[in-house]
Amino acid sequence: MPLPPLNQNKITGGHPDTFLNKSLNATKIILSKTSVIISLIVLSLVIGGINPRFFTIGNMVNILHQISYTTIAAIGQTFVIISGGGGIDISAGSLISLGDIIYSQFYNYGLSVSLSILIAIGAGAIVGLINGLLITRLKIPPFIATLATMTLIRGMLPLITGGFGVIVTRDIVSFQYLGRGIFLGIPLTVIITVLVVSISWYMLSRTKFGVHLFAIGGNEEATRLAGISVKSFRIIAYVISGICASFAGVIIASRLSSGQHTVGTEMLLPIIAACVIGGASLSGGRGSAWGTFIGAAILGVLANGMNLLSVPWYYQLLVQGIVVALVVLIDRGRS
Amino acid sequence: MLNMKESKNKIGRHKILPGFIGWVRNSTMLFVIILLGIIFSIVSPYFFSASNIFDITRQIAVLALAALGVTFVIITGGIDISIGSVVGLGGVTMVALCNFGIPVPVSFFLSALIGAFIGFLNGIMIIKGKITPLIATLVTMNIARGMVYAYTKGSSIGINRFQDQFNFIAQGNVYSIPFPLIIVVIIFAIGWIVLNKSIYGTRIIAVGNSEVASRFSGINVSKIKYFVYIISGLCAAIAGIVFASRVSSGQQQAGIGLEFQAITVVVIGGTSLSGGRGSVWSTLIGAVVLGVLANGMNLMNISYYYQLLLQGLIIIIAVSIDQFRRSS
Repeated sequence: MPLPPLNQNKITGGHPDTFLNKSLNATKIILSKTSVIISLIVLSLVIGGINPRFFTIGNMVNILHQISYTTIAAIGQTFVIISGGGGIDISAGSLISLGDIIYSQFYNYGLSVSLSILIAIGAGAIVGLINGLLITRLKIPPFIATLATMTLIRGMLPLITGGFGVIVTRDIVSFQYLGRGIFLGIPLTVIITVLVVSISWYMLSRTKFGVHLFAIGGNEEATRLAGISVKSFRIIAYVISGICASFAGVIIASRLSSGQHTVGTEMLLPIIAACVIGGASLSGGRGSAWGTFIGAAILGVLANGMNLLSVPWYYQLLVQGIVVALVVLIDRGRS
Repeated sequence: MLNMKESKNKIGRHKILPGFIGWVRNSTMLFVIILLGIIFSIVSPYFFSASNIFDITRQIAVLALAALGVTFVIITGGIDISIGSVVGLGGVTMVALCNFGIPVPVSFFLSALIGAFIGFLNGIMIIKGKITPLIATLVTMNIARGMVYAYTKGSSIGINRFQDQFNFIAQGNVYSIPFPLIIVVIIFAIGWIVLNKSIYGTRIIAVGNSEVASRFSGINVSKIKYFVYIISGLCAAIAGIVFASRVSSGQQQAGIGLEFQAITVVVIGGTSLSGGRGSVWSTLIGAVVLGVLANGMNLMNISYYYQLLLQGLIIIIAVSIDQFRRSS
């Protein structure tokens, strides 16, 4: 989240760094996220009110586990959106499929788990680099550039796998550890998700990198004139997005122990929705890691709740669309 | 609020008439089409036959219609990714209405109206709700697709009344000219007239160039925005009707991914995503290029996935050329 404005507080007076003023500013920032948190709480109460099974620990952990893929990919997307200039990464969906397939395929070839993961993430980073270069060097609008890479990846995937999905034939247990392992009673996916979100939060709010990224998104010209390389930061943002998306694919692969072409295609919308619900503005300069997490949580709670309430699958998309519309409208209405 | 980007565009640009740039650009594309045509007819003698050409028009009709609608939105600087779902919605609505016994022309009108309604929803969210077009249309994309799923409950709906009339829309011929071609020609002609010869067209381009300046010129920017999103929904619904007629059923998956294809067509044709420039003709050419490519590659038995690779490359090349031309 952006640093608090350095204004003198009119009511309490005094220097912005006094304890009182810092607390007030912190409260302001928390309140600005409140509408989303309130939506989450209200949603949970409604669902739990109808079916109390919602509130069991097992179910909560289940939700966290289910949103793990979306959250990780959405975190990457958050960096891109914050970096501004209409930043968006449409190729995230196909990158997830790419990570999925590369991890499965190379593991099948005989490489170790770590090496396969590294190659999958590396591929994601390379695609992110290509996206970044297309956007900053060739000045192609982000939507088009990432649309092009998405098309390229979709065309390339079946050429890697020979047309069909990849089925892992070797030692399944180590392959699946990432997606199915449990550590101290908590699924590994949940731990990884919390780690990724925390690290991203730290990067965005507590490092110079984060400050610069928000600056670029907020006012590109001023930041460029201040001597900061806008292009480099944007490229890094897209590389991060590529890494996150392909890593999400790796986790999916290790959960399903197979590589499919189509895993990522319907995940693009929840990813973007999570970022936007979480407060990211598509014009850049606004967004937060934990906000994105809450956005993904809302979607996850909704999906989980609809299943618990036995809502038929063919109504779920409509409900999801309406809920997202309401959350976004309420949130925008405040600002 | 003045946008930094806007002023930067105005300063460095050569004041070449958009028409001239468009002509040069479109001539390049026309040349590409002719070149492709020559290559493909050498490779496969079947390519240049009347039946194949007419097949191409049938194949690209749906995409071309959807792309036309979204062209208007893109010219104003917005975007509409709900058109894929509206294609599905239009088709399913058409089939449902016909099955209820409502005559085909009336069902056609009503289904097109549903598309316009979705466009109106987009307009409300973008203008009144102040939501960015990408998010607003993302939401309607889900809502429209959700409506389709909710109605069809998971299966696709076959047409079981007025079949002959219904199928004629996409499969019929008028004096051996495919009916979809006639539909495309009529709708594109209307679109061209609106964009080039009516006051609305001028205002649409003005809004795309600078909302602030348009507002100060007395143009009702909100009304224009509603207008383009409704047009987009309308065209998408009509495309959906043609598609449903093509497969003689209301497919619940119809149109998935179509929005990206349509935007590809518009961008390859030369319309810029930042708005203010673009034409109906360029979109038509973009659709024809993609259609000819796809058809030719199918004739050569080249896998669909190579086509996707080529499409991706074409997008990059086409847009880069535009950017270089614009910034020199």
